[in-house]
Amino acid sequence: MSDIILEGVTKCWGEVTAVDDLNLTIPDGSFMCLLGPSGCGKTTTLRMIAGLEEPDKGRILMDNKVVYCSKRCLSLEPNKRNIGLIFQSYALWPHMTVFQNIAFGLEMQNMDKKSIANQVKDVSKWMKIDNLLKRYPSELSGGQQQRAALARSLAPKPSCILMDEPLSNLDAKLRIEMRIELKRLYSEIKQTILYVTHDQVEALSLGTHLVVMNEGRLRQIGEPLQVYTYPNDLFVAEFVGSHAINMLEGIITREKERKIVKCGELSFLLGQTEEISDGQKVRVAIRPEDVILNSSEPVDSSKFTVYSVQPTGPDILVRVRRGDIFLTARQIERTILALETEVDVSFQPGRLFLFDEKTGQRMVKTDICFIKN
Amino acid sequence: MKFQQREVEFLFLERNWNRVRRIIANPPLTLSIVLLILLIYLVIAPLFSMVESALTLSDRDSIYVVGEQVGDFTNYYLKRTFVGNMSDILFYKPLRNTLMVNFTMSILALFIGSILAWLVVRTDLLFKRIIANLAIIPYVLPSWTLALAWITVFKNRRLGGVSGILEYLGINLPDWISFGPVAIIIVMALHYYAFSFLLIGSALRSLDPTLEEAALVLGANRRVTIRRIIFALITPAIFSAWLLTISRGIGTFAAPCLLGTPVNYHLLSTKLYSNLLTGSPGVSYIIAVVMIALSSLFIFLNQRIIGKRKSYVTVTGKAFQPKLVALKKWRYLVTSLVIIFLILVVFLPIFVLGIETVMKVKGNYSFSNFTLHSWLGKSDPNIAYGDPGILRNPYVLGALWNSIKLGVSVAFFCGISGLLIGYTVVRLRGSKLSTILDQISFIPYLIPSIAFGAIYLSLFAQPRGFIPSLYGTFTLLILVTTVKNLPFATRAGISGMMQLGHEIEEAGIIAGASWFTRMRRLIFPLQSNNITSGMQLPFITAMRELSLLVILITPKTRLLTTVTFKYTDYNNYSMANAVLLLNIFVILAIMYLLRKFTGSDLAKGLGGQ
Repeated sequence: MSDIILEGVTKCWGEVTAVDDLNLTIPDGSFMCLLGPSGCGKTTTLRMIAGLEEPDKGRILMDNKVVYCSKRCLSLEPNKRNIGLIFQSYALWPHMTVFQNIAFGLEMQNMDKKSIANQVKDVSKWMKIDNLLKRYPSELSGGQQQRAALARSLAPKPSCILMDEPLSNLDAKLRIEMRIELKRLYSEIKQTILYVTHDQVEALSLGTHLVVMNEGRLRQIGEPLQVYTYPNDLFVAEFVGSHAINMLEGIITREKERKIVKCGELSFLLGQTEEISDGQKVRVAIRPEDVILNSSEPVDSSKFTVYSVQPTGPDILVRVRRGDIFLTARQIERTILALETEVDVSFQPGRLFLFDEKTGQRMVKTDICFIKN
Repeated sequence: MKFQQREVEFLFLERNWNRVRRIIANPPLTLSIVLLILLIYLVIAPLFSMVESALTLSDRDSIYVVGEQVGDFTNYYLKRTFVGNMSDILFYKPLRNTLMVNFTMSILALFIGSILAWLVVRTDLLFKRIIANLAIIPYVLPSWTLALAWITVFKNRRLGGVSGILEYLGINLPDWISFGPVAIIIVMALHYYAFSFLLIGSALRSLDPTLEEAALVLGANRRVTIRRIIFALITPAIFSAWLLTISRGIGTFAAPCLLGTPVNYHLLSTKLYSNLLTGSPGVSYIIAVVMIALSSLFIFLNQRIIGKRKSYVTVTGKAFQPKLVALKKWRYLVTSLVIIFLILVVFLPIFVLGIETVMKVKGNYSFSNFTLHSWLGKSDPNIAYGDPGILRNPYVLGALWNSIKLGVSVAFFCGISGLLIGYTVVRLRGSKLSTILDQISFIPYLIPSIAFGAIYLSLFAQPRGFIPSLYGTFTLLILVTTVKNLPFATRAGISGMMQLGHEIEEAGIIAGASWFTRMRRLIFPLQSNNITSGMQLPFITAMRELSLLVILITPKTRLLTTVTFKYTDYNNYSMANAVLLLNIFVILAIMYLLRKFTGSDLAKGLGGQ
């Protein structure tokens, strides 16, 4: 039982509030990814947990122990928090060999030489760098440096590992490889990991929990797929997902006792709830993979013309147009549609989302479906 | 109720206890406070002390002022400097001369430096490496090397004493060549052009080549590209070099003293010196304040220009492979001209000085007149007041030992303080403390050397509080030279720490290393290269420094530079030149060794600011 708990944590840099009244519990043994655009306060949050930065307000608990409390002016030093930290730059000490780098933290615990050597050997074997121990960091490849940094932070057996964009310095191919390694590592150690990233593919694929932050505030927390499929608000909907979500502006109108959202020439039928009122401005959102072109099933559809076609390899992104409305669809069949061809566009039932434009919140109670026109 | 109160009390106690613990556990903070106190004492206090001395009656002048006692507050010096009968001679004329000389000198220096920089960086000149290395030598040499060489060559008979080489060869020289402003301007320009050479050279080198290529692709020819793109982009560097040269020139003492004083041509720096020695010390301190103000003005202008236009110079990570301008048929001619120029300003002066040291009878440059007496001669009462040759002269050898001692100590203390100040400034970045430390350590840069010496004289002439009078001690020389070099040392320290980044140390914090362990095992080893290369400039400055130390020297603490100066005072130019050559030899030898063993390059240290 050693959850990490942040209570009302606030941190300002001069006028700017980097982290604003953050309440967050990182359950013991979870792999939590902190996702957000740069400057959203995610790295600051990680550094405050590590003890490298001091919050202005709030309380942080680790291992059922208060490590920071603004009321009591208490702030435990980083080395008393029993954490490991992987830096974005790895911060391997360039004047020490890999062995010396890994052994440093153990030396600081006054371990005897023999057990240090044993532990370094163990952890380096595990990280598959046991043949590189005599090398200097500059003699390692990017991936090897990454493993050495991991080994260094794992060697003192911390109860929690913090990672600050650890894969952002690697090239695309290596990044995917290391992602797999990290996932395997987590399944072996089952230790709490807090992982900060701005790459949503990493955030979605790695963790057991996903936290989306923006402007110092927590926007949504949940299982990664849950967050992707059911975004709480406009920001999360637009930020999470590697292909931009389709977003249509609309106004709620009444048509023969039915509530309808009019988005240009498209109309969507709404369920009757108290959330909505006539004339309210809303946004309708749908992910590209939920936009279906020329469905073989008999569903309500609308005529669009093809505006541009981008094959990306595994799928083809098709941008279609009707009047002022543009939609992007992810097409899996490997046929390239000619420009200006007419296509029938329909939407995956249950994947349409309605957001209040004013508050940005998703209107969760209201059902929405597409109607033919 | 009572219980609650006790709980509040406990919280209060705990808060304060935690606060104290955290300050103690935060060494950068503690260190910065210690450094701040030291810097306030060594940099800020002297400024106040100087103003105080300018407003306090000294015993030398007490007989002129009716009704005021020694040590009283007085405006006598202010009146004397700015409005009295003597003010024109004491202040306004030297001020005009200073402005005129420095203005002309800096333009000339800029002209030479920028042309050389452009030739070396952007054209297919031959022997570039050698030329680049030779070109900075005049700056490394003591600034009066050229002045002494000038005298040796151009001195005319009219002013008494022995004539120079040209007169010996039968060429009659007018006064304005031998001594005075023209001579000062040329000699100073040939010393300070290295500044423009290095600054503009590094600006040219760091230009993004694609900017230029973009212009070429758009149809501009080479000439237009040079004028509209390259020249426009390095304008800030040119301005910067110009202003820094002026502000440096204002504090220069040796060349104006050797070439101006004999014909009664004074600049502020020589006026400051003569007033301190024989006139009213208060006047000197007022002149010093004016010099600081002038120099600060130019530095301020420079900061404004750089601050606004810094974004101009883009430093790309790419290895720069500029398309060199082909000099074509001019290539050999230009190369020869550059080499002739460098021979004239680097080798010829040293050669001329060398000749002078081996002449038995002054002014007779024939082979029959050859002697090594100045170097190796035993004491002979008929020659040079009985001074033996410099290599067996305990007075000179003592000075040599002192100079090396000073150079090494200053290099050491500069290295350490640069690292520590750099460390705290970077670690506490964004805090007021960091900004203040950064700014205070830059102040000595604004103060002309000779004025800085004057300040330290006024501060340490008598004991103050628990600090004894340091005048006449070697410690004072080390102290003043270290503090004067602090701006360079700190800049080097800051840039080194910036490159190192926070994460290297934070990784140590996470691993549980104490501050001392982090310093010893992480920061010091990683900064050692940076420290040694940062030490080179203070070492050389200390070895060739005269302006800064000339007022603080006593016979016991004599240095090679002050011994040279003393010999010129006695009109014994052959001994003076011999000592100077010894000094030059030691500087170049140590520079060579440092370069060989540490791979550090002086050009790097001079680069940046």
